[in-house]
Amino acid sequence: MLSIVLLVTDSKTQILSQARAVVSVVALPIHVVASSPVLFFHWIGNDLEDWGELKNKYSVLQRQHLILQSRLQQLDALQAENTRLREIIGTASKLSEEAIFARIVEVHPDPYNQTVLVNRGGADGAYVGQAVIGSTGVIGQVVRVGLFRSSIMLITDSSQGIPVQFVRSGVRTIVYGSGQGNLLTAPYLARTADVRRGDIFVTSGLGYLYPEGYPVGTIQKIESDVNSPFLSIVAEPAAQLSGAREVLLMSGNENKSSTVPDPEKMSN
Amino acid sequence: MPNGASSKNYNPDWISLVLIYWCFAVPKKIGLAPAWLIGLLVDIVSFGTLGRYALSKLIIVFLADRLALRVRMFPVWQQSFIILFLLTIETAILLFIGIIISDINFSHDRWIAVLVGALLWPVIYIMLRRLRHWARLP
Repeated sequence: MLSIVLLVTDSKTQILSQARAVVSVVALPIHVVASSPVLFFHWIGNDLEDWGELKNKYSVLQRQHLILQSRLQQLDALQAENTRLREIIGTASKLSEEAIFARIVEVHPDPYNQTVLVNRGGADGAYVGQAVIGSTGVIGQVVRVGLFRSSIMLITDSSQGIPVQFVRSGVRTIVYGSGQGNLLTAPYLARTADVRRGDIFVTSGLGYLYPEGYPVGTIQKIESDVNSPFLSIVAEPAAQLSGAREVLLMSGNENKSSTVPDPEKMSN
Repeated sequence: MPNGASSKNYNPDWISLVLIYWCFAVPKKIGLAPAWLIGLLVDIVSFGTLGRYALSKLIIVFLADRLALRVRMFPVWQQSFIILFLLTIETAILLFIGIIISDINFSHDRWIAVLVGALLWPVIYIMLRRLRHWARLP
């Protein structure tokens, strides 16, 4: 009986979220213990890398660093130009660059949802509805916040939808998680829409949850059925969802969150 | 080892299996309140909706307690069928709750995990019994 009451209050209201944040501290030692074997193997793996391998890796990283650095210089100039142009057109530019660095905790306790835990929580400034970006693309959003841990729902979860825009054609749509493995679907594209296999789509910034312009995925398969007005599209996420270890929690949309309905409810 | 959510995960629910073992070994000793608390702890640790695992563990322990005296007569491999039944019920409960509050992915992995749990039951049973005798528990 009590569990049913708990279930209803927790799923329909926000009352318990404060209590959860505090109570979740209990989970911390369990997470630490549960993730220790994996961390131990990583640690061994890192320690046993031999000298040549390390040197190789170092030179590769250095080269990458140089290339990225040179691109960054361009980026600064472009950004300045962009702001200037936007000022001319009269639209406000919003480039939020604040982010919290977080590491994914090697614990996967709930097999019924596509969620991962990260080692940042309310105490570090994480909040519900925060967009999470990996090194190659959007990972998901923060759905629950504890004091030192929070849980991130991946974009491939079937309850997740992201407003996106195709880079090549500029077509806008919403992409949903398929819930089946590592795939996305885009169910609302008309059969006449200008999309092709291999098209890349990025966050469009509509919906205020995800900042604009981060890669979300690539179209893998398009099927056109004469009986349906919509294309059936299967896409692959840009981010490595199963392999990612470090992510960024973007904190640009906090001021907007008051105007936006609860992201968990919104995406349903 | 779990590695991100999108990799295939056929791990059976170890907590349920251990709980069921203890119900069979010493019926009516665990009690419903501790079972509920263990489930709640799982909910907290997994950052899921509170009360989901609490309810499922409660029902599992209740059913296992009811079945315990009968089951102890069976050979281990026949107990696997009972385990299959219990784990199926738990998965069904979790899926049902998930569908009602709509925060779930229906995936076939979970049913495979149920099968894996039932198949592993003899191993788990023997290991836990050894452990119990070694630790001189009741």
